[in-house]
Amino acid sequence: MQQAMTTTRRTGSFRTEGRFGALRPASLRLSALFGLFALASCGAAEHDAQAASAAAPETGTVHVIDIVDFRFEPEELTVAAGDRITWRNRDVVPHTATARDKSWDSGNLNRDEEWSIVAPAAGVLDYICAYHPSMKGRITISDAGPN
Amino acid sequence: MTTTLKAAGAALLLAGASLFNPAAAQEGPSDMQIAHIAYTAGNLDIRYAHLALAKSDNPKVREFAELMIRDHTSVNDQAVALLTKLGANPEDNATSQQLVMNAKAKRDELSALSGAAFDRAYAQNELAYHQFVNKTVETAFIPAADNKEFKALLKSALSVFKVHENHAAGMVKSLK
Repeated sequence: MQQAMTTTRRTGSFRTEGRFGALRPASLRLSALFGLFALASCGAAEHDAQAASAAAPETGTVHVIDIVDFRFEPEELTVAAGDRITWRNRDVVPHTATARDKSWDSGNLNRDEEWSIVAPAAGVLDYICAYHPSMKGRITISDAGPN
Repeated sequence: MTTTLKAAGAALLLAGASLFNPAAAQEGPSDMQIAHIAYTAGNLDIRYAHLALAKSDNPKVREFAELMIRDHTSVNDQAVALLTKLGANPEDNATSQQLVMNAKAKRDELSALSGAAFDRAYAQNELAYHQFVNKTVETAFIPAADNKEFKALLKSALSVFKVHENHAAGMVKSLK
């Protein structure tokens, strides 16, 4: 699955947006070996993200996953490529939304913070809370749209 | 289970038990005393966690300790925010003081251990501590709390502490 995606974080009145793509191992190795080309490698990642975005343009449909009482609600969700998925922490402790394969990670989400991605190409995103791994969620992405 | 833990649990349960007894209601803890006890219990667990981080090299123990610091700090911060919003001050009481004394003894006991012996003792203490606290919060403090927002926070906190209890039980099992 193409893991490149657009992310958005909102903390209180602060909101930042950016695009990132999961760096392919080859890109990481090249960056390590040729530090001077690190910027070029980042540029390639940006290009990947844009390419994914072009493959799955944002549809305007937003799906919200609330984190409540140590659960992702809903735990399973079906979306279309290009839909926006937002996690909102409504719990009293920090949580994360972290891909099982670690290809994407919300980072620390305190109470009332939220974080978004734009669903990339069709596939399945399995994720957990990195702090409380018993919390599990799954997002199924279809090209045609939600079932 | 140690005598210290039994005493800590007994102190908590005694505080809660008096809430059920109308005759003892006037002597039973108020919302602000419950808040002080709960906040104190959280802070004491944070101190146990710092001790674990200082003494243990076991990744599972360290991960659990970091979780305790993160979660209990968050719950306590929200308790403070709620009390500030309500213009209320937690009230120190004999149960809180007993908890602090008992925890000091337990920390001394844990500090004298090292390696796997420390890890096991820390894990067992965390399990027993959460079992006692959870039982008290669920059966005594939540039913007794008057303020709706405070009661809701206690319920949310209990769900957090139950996850900790299960996690601690797994840690105890894995360290045997």
